[in-house]
Amino acid sequence: MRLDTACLVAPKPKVPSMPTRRAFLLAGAMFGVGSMIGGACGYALGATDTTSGDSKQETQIDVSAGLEPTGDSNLDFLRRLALQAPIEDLEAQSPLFLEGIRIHVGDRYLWHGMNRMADRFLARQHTKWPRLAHRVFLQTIRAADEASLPDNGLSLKRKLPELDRVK
Amino acid sequence: MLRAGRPPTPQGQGGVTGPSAVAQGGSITVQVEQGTSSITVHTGGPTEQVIPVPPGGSVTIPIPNVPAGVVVVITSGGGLTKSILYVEVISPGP
Repeated sequence: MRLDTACLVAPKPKVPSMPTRRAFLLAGAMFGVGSMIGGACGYALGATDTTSGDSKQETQIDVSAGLEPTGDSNLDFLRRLALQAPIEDLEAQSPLFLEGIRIHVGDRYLWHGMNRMADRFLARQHTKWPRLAHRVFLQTIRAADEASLPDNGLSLKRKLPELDRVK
Repeated sequence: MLRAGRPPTPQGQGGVTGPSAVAQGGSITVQVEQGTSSITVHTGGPTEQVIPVPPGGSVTIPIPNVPAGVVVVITSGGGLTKSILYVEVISPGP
């Protein structure tokens, strides 16, 4: 006859993870409050941050004022590109846009478009720009007369060393 | 989604066509669409050179004395129908 050893130690009593109903209600309330605060903060950040990267350092642009007709249909078109069009459209039409900003160098709405392009350039997302457009982009900023530039154009010009580092 | 309107003009097609690169100190010949009276040449700044287009539409442009790597911009026409050609200035061969 064979004798096996038997363990006679009683198992540890299980401590319930939610010992009381009061604790459960407290945890639920904390979760609810946290969600509300987090949601509100996220919404507030998202509502104020409509741009990304360096263009958010620009002083506020009044988009609706910039989209008002100027009497120059070419300028109106360029401003729509700068302010309202998807970035891909602005990039695809960058040769025309860069021609426009050379002519309207004092137009802060167009420089907003340049800042949008600069964000993409600094993020190295300019690979789909038309051939050599990135170089003309830099040349245009470099050649712009500081005395004629609006505040957002001037701040972009001061970022040239940073832009020049992008290959 | 808003689309800004006019589709992009392929580079160097339409109004003005020509080579994509030129050696420093060299010149290039571009073909310009009939009916165009002049083209402009610049390097991104406010200063531009206006060159009349002879009958036949073939224009030889002396490239400004700029360092290699600079892009010379040649345009014809105006407004949103402007045709734009980018020409890269490269170092002359050995």
